[in-house]
Amino acid sequence: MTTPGGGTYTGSAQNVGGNANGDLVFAADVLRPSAISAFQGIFVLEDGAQREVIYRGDALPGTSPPRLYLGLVGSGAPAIDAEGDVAFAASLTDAAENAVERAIVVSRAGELGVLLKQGDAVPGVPGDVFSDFPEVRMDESGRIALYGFTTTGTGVFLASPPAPAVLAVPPLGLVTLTLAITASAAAIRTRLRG
Amino acid sequence: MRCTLLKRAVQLALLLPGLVAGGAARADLSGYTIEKLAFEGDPAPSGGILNQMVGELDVEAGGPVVFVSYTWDGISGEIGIFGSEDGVLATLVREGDVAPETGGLLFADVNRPRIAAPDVLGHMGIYQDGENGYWGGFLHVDSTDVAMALPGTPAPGGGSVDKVLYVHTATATPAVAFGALVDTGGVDPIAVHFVHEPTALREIFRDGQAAPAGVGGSFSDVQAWWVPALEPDGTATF
Repeated sequence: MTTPGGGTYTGSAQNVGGNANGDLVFAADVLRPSAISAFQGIFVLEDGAQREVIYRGDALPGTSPPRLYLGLVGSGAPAIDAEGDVAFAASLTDAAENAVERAIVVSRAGELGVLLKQGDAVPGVPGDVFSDFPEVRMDESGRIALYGFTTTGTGVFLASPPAPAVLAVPPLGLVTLTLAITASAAAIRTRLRG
Repeated sequence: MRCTLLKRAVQLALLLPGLVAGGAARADLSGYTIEKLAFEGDPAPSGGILNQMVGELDVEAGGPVVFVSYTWDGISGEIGIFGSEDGVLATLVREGDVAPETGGLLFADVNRPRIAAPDVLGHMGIYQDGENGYWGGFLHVDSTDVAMALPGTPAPGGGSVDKVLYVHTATATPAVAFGALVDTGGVDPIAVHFVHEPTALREIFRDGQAAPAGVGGSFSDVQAWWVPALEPDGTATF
């Protein structure tokens, strides 16, 4: 079977995540065209179409110093919510493969970002920093529950996406327009609630 | 060798950015709020403190987060599955509770919680009979506790359950997918993935099973920890 980038799946997708819409997210080893070795990528299958989320060696936008995706942490499955956004715990490396750190990576509206990474401050535990993220789960609304290892212990944390802003329209008084607003125009989602 | 190949791949990706998919645009995640739900040393609902957390958790759509932790009261410790919602921490099931449909035997271990609305919690548990421990799968639905599969439970595709090892996914139906070892009379038990539904226990796939038409061959080296996806209508994908 061929991937969106023209690669070939070389193994089965062992860990599969799904949402209520029937969309699937999975990690699989893929041999890209002209490559000599297969590496891991994360893919989404939605409405019969495949989408590549990330592939080993991909740069994580906004990381400084630059970080590249190395692979999933442990045997955890990536998670997908009702909007098709994806979250997973990843191992990252620098371009020379000298440093590896752990992070929670989120693909939102098709764009990648690092939500949390090793060394970030631990909310609710002053002076502590994260060291690893062994388990990540996401619900249909995009809330991400995670285990965090820190320098002083372990904890359970919940990351919630921005709450929808409810805008009443007084002149009409009939419709409440709920806008889920993010800074990215591509990520703006509009819902009408009667 | 593997390291060298990785470096080459990374170098190639850096030299040929056109080959790098999905790496151009940056998602704005600045609006996320991250909160601590529980941390080692926090008070446990049943007394003592949360002592050591185990790497298993789940989150229900718009509802609680469930997780596994040991507790410590200064003298002894026990393991439990806890739920956190709106700042309230509750014990859902713990070591020492009666394991359903086991003749009153008690849990010595509970783990792998999977939650779905409304009030559906699947988990695995080890219950003890003297020196012997038995690995089963359990389901809590609307205040009713049942066993999904226990050692000796017949498998629809043949053989009987030896150990339930992993609970994968729960839906509100309620349906719960789990992975187990099944004794088929061979030298070693084989890995089988099941779905427990209100009226039936069915198999998703098992080691050695013929693959679907068009694929050919048979499944081999199936592992119980592989995670299939389970959709609300009961469709399982692996």
